[in-house]
Amino acid sequence: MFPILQVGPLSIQSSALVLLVSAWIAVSLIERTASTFELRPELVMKLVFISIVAGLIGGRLLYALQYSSVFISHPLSILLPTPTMFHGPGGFVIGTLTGLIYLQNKGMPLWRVLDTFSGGLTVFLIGTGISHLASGSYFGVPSTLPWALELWGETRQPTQIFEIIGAVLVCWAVWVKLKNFRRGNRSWQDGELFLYFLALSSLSYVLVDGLRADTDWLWGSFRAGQAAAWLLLAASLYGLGRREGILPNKQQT
Amino acid sequence: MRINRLLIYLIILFISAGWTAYSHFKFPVSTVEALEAPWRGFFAPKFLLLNLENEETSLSELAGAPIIVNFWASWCTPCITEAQALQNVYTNYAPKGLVLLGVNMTQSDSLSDVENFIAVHGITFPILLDVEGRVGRLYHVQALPTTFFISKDGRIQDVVVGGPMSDALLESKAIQLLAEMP
Repeated sequence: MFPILQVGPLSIQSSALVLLVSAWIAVSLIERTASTFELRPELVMKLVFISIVAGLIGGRLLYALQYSSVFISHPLSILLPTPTMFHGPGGFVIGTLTGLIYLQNKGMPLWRVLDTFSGGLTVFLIGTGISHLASGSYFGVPSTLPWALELWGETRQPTQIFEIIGAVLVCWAVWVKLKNFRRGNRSWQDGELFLYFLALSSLSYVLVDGLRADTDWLWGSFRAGQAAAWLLLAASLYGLGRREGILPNKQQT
Repeated sequence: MRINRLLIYLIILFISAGWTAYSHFKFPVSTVEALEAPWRGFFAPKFLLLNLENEETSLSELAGAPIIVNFWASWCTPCITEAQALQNVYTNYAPKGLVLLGVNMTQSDSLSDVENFIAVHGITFPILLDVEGRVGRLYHVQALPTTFFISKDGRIQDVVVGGPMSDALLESKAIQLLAEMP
């Protein structure tokens, strides 16, 4: 665990640095895979850029709204580059909605855009796992098993390492499928790659979250995040089933 | 082939649902963590330190109050910059029940510099002296300033490593801590 990188007088949060680097790699990969799905890379990049900017601005504005009395006294603080002053879920929703509006305006096919994002998102998932390992968050329940790691005063299930292994496997599986698409080894349907990615990453989340001690989305004592991931897994398998012909499918490219 | 694939999907769903139920009963979240550690979600590690007047302050005696613990040193530039914001949040929110503790890393500082710092910045919130660096080590402080936001129930709600923290950040965190149910 290395939460802080000391570079001269600068203290850099290693988890944030890892996330930034993996986001940059993910965006580059999304740009490169756009043409595989017959999308214009520059339009896809604009979509990514607009969504990120809208998400960042929206997240900060919602935080300011939540603590309006504070920001009325310190209006310029809204411009400070402080990541802590950010409404994460709100920023995500605003960024997604903005992206969807842009997508609709430009007449871009939603499922194909999501397919384009899949390869990059797998790399971002690996980065997320590494950032959790660096910060020490996403830690496991106490365990005496031989592979347990010493963390926060206990030997624990190495959930961060399980998360990274899961993300690497998802990445490998998605890129193999993407390669098959590129080679034209088989016909594909819009949304197939994204649903494949969603099913695998949800499955990985369901498995790893069950061993987490700091799971952050709860209904009482129930791991709601794990249950939501299971529902997402079921929904994505249903969507995949439709596209793979288990159920009648609708479109063929 | 289609039936095989459908079967595989159903098996995946069945096994993952089973694992979800098993982990719920095997590792119930409400009981897995009651430990003290310097990270979000854990109970804040207890400490006992002296101030400049040799009076003791113990974290456990402050149980039930929202607490901000700020680790600092007089030579640290961001600590100097955020001193006024900390003093402001103390002035405005201490009457509402917020506790602010400044833990000076005295092991790497000098008492005369600490006294000078307090005088220059008009600090009135309690300053505690970590003479041996024991509390800094207990809280895994790797960079200065580092600030812990502790809820009324004694759990660490957030950790801000580095600075300077702005008035807006400190005030919004103070409001958040005070609004939480004990």
